[in-house]
Amino acid sequence: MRSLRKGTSPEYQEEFRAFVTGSQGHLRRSAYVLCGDWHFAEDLVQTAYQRIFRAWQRVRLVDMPDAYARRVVYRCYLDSRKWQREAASIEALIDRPVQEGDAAMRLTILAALAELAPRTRAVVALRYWEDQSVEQTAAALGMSPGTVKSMSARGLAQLRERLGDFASLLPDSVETR
Amino acid sequence: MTPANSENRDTTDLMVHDMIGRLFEEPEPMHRTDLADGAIAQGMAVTRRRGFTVAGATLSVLVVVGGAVAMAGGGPRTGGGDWSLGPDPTANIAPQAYEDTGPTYADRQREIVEQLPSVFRPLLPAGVTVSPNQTQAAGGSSMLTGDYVPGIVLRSGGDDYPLRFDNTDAAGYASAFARASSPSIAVAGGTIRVAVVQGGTESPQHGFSAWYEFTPTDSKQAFHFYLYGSGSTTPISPTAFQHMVESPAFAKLRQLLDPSVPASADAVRQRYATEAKINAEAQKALPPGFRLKLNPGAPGGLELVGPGGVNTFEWFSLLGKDQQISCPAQSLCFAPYSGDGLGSTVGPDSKARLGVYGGWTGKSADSSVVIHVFGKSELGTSVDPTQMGKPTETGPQGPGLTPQQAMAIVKAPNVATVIADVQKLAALY
Repeated sequence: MRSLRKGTSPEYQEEFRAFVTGSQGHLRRSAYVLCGDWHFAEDLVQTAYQRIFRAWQRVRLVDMPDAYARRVVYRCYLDSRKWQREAASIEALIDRPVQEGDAAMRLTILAALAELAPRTRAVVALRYWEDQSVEQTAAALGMSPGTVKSMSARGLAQLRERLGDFASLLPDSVETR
Repeated sequence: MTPANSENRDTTDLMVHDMIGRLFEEPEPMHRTDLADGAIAQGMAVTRRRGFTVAGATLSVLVVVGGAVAMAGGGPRTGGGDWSLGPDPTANIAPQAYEDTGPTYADRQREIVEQLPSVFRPLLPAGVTVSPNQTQAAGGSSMLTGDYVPGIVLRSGGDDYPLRFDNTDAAGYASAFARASSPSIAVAGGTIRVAVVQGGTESPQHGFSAWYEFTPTDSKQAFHFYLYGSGSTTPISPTAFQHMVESPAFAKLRQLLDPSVPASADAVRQRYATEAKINAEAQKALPPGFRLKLNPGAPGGLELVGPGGVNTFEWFSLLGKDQQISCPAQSLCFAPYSGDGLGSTVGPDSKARLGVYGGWTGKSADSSVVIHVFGKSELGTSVDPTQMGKPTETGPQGPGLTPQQAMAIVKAPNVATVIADVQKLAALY
């Protein structure tokens, strides 16, 4: 039963808070994979939760609210004009002093991800970080399965090329489904 | 795909996943702890009297709270001016131009909701019924297409099992059948497959999810549904599913759920009857020349039809001390987007706006009305994901409401009752 007044009741808000508590850690990391900046990642998640709360009276009834929330984060990322801000953070990454060991590897991975086009990055993140199928990725991003496959292949090839000394993190050839 | 290729693919998946996972091998920085409160404050434009925890708050939340404090502390009042309703400056088309004389998508959606229990019930195995509690049946809509996904809640052994007639690949049938290594079973008229996945395929909160597919021999279009619940046993066994698809009554279910079948003439008549009841109530609060139109896919399930066009429309009656809005007494507040709180006060400038209006209904902050009036729902890459339904395009997009029109709604006698009554009439479930 839709109830607009219910949408503002304390019980309703507590239910939403419980959902946020349970989902924010994963969503924050997903957003970080997308944008490579913890502050921007939290902005994305905050924006996503605003949108989800507006629709909470319907979202709370679906059987996979976590999956829905993940889609909202990805849509927020793609919809956002802030990816221009992300481009600035790429430069910041590149200009950082050379670091050794694991820190250098993480910066290289971030830089490689950051050089992917936003939609390609979203495809790679959904397919390989979120373990989503081609069809699920296509539905979440509003594109065809064929586009998902081609973007996956192209994105992984670009990643391997840009990982430089860390290219061995990925297989020599990539197989996409 | 050969086993070798499948193995290579899995290796690729794991290696890419592990590579990305290395980003999280160092401790994550301190995180905000008030994401929920920030979303609630901004999403509903409601401030709670007990205030917010500012420590660690986001800049955006601070903006909302700061704005609320500034206005509560006596910001510019715009209660003056001429708030009377003059001629609508946006009027250019007669409201009758937006009538749908033929069946609409929304008609079909409502028809399915109403008929599904009686059509599906005879197909259920013994001991399984349609649950009297259908609140979880709202399956929502495809984010990609806006198509309505019918749902129903079954009851077996005292437990409820939500079921979705989601026929899209994105629902995960292929991966479920692959994980369960489900064989195709020949039945009269085609083949069936059933997969029961413990823990579901996406969310661990359910005991199991069960996936069903019937592929008729005379059509490439398969028929799907899935259900889930606690425990580990599905109330519809593979044998029960076989009996279901072989039943003569199964054709009626497929007919009901066939997206190519338009709504019946009776559904159109019923829509007119329901809208007449809704508008008999709504006219007590809406400005002259405006009426409401049913659209289950729109946010709030309603559209506002006015002399200047059609807008999505939601109205909220907020009652009580913990639901006060951040707007001064005797004023109208406005924000261009629902995530920005209630913005600032607005005067009677006769300029139509899309956004969020809010104001006290009387002299107490404990009763107020918030109105969301936005453009048409759009689907595609730029869609707001929370607009989960298929829009009904019955006319050009309207310009929204002027401050005078919004104030007329806020100050209408017994507006809280009107809003509640309209919502009951518009509810699908």
